[in-house]
Order: sequence, then structure tokens, then C-alpha cells
Amino acid sequence: MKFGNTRDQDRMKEVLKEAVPRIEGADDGSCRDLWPVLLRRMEEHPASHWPKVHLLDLAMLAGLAALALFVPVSIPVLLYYL
Amino acid sequence: MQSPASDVLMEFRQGDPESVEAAFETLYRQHQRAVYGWILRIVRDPSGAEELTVETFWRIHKAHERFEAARGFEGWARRIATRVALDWLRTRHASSELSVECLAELPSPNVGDPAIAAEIRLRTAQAFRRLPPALRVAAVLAVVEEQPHKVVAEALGISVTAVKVRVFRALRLLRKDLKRQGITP
Repeated sequence: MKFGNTRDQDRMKEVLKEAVPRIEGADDGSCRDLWPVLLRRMEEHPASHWPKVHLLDLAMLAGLAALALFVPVSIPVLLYYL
Repeated sequence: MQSPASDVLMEFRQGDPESVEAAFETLYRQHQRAVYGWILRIVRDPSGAEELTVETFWRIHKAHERFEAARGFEGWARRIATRVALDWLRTRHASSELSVECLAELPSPNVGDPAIAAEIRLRTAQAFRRLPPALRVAAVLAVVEEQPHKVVAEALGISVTAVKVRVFRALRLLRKDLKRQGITP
């Protein structure tokens, strides 16, 4: 699929490559061992064992509870649709 | 018969807590360099890339239950890393400026007066940094780093056509910005 003037695009690509050079050997580059940093991070913010509840679900539950409380006739209808 | 690599992925996905931790460390050791390299290509800042590598693996660990072993770890990690890097670029978008010291490290192109060439390169690099991060990431990966469009699309969670559109828009905005400064590429 081609977009617009191909010659202009190719020229801009060349200009960009000259201004922002490629990072050579990025995958093999030296990167210090970050495992200790990661472990510290995981200890500071342990994963919660509680299941994640979406805010929208909570809001809907609160709405249904309020409806059942203030309009008790709606309870059988709600139960029917459960 | 399952390979040891897929055993690690399965344990990471649904093992008991101890197996998950062990599998996570194995995956970290296998993929740290690749993830760091990918992030470095996007943010172009070694210390920022280290910080974001930690953030990426932390998110990977948190999301291990959502991991689909059949789809492979590398692409999934790359996608999370790209999102993390994009968020980082968005927060730094307004403040980041390329210094003259950075420019001194760039290789010289083969054009006329070196001072003028350097000035053009500096302005181009600065204009590139002013692009919206979503366009910049697509252009830097597809054009500068010459990554296949399919890989870029998977990492960004968009189609190959959408990658091409983003690259096209990035180059067009870059050209306009340079023209405004009186530079006709």
C-alpha cells in the first residue's frame, strides 16, 4: 500500500535516518542485571490475592442495591433476571 | 511431548506460586536483553530504558494469569514493553529536548558544509521529538530501526495498514515542521 508522494516520503525517510541514527546492536547491548531491582519492586508492591473488581461493576451493584432498598417491588423482577 | 520452554510458559501461566516465581525468573533471564533493546530503540535513553525494563517485567508478572502460552512470550512482552515506553514518552513529550551534546555523537552525513548539515540534523531531530508519541514510535521502529511492519503492528496492537498510515503522517508532519523553519528537505 502506498501513501502520497513516494519520492517525498523516501527523501524524508533519509533525512530522518541521518538525524536520528539507528541504535546498533540494541539486543546485544550491555544492560546491567536488573533482577535485584525487579525483586525489590515486587516486594514493595506485592500482587493482590483478591480478585480485581471493575469500578463499573461496583457502581452497577450499588445501583441495584439502592433500587432494591428504595423500590422493594423491583426485587422479584431483579431475581427473575438473575 | 512438550518442550522445556513450553513447560516454563505453562508454569508461568498457571503454576503454583513457587513455580510461577521460578518460571518468571527463567523468562526474565531469557528475555531481559531483548526487552531492554526494544525499549531502548523506542526511548533512546539507556537509563530510561533500564527503568522501563523493570516496569515492563513487573507488569508481566502482575498479568501472568492473562498470558496465553500458545501465542508466545516474546510478542506479548514486546507489546507490554511498547505500551510502557509509549506512556513514558507521553509524560516526557513536552519536556524532552535534544541537546547539542547528543548531536555530537551522531554520525556525519555526506552533505556540503558540516556546520549546516549538523544544524539541519539537530532541527530534524528536535522536530521529530515534537511529533505525537504514537506517530514517533511507529516511525522510529519502522523507518529508523527498520523493524518489519508486522512486528511493529503486533507491538503496537494495530494493523499493518495503521502502521503505514502512522509512518506516513509522521513524515508529513516532520516535513511541515521543517518547512516552517525554512528547511526544505
